[in-house]
Amino acid sequence: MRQRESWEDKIKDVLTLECDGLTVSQDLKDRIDEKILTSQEAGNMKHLPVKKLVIGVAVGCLLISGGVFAAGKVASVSSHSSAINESKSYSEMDKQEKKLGYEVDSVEQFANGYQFEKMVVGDQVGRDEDGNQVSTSKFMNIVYQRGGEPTVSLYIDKLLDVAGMSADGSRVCGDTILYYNSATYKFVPADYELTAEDKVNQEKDNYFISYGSSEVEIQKSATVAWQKNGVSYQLMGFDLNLSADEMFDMAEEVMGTK
Amino acid sequence: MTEETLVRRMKEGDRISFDMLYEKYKNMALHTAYLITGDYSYSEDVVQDTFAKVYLHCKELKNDSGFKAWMMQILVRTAYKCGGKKSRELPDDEVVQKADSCHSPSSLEQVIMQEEAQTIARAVRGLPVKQRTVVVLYYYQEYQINEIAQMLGCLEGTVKSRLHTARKHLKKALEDDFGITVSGIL
Repeated sequence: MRQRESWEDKIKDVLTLECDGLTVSQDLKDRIDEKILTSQEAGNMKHLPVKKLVIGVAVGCLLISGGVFAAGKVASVSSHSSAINESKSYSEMDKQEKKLGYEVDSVEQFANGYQFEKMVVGDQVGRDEDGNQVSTSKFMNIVYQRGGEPTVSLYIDKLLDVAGMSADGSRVCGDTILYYNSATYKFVPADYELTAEDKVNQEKDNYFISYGSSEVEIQKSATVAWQKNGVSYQLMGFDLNLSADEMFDMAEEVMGTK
Repeated sequence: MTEETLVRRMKEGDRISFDMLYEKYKNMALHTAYLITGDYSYSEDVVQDTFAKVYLHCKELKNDSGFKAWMMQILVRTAYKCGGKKSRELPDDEVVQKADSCHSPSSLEQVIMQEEAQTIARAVRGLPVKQRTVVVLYYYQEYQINEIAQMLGCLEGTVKSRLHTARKHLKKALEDDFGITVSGIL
């Protein structure tokens, strides 16, 4: 083993001197507790930076990029629901709408074969950029399946202002505009170290790195969003075998115009 | 109460045990994060993220007696992400100012020692974040090479290599500033 040189012995003293008098600020523990609480409230959702909207439901995790919220101070939304409250019968829609507090547009089956699987009404919390809770409301999530393909979800609430969404494309349907948005999400473990490629990618508007998953996983999201009678609708999914036009068609079916 | 007991109770959801572990390690964590990131506000963010992750993921810790090493692993990896983003903003003469507050420079020898300390501090600050991290863990925290390798998730050879390169940089800085040849590794 090599012997330390005399100058090396001074490094610890120098570094100790650098930290002399440094102590954590009084409110740091409060911030840690708040962060823990926020994470716990988000349940098993995957964590995203504040600028992204995160929608987690009992069936998984749905995400929208570039979201702008009707409540001005809201920068992010976390949503949670219990599997106990899920309904697997479309005939119970009236009951679910009563829980939600308003009527919604929906279909039991799409022309392309996607069929109703289940639905749930849950609670969502809006937070400002500092993570403070600024609003609470309810949402409904309806899940559609087609064979073994990735599921499509229809997320309904009154919080998202779709007019502010970034969009890759749009379709005008009567007096309603449908917005299409796609993005790439890389889900990584909490202690994941970003690669050089990650650092380049995360500068892109439609590429997000999400910490908190058990393993590295890359998925592509697709969303069509619109608003009708003050209600926001987001038809979305990951790694779907659907084009933007097909998703626009599905949205029109929900609206009842197709 | 032993640290292992605190860790076990934290894993069972006991917040008081978590609070006690935080109190025990908060300043050590802050100092390490500060030395790696070179920025006080970043280092507080690192400590915040680290302890939040510690609580939220404590059930993933298999060996309760390995808590400190596990926490340090989270801290160092979190600090890594911050460390590369921003260069250190500490004024170069801060070390001397701090030294002044502790010791009166009553002799030429003391002044030279302070200048030497300043040179070392500046050289450490100027190291790339990966080398700086290894220097902080090896010299300041006094971890062994194998422990650092485990913490950083790399090979021992990688740690040795980073340490060797860092030593060369530090030594050159000393030689450049004081015009003397430091014997040893060059």
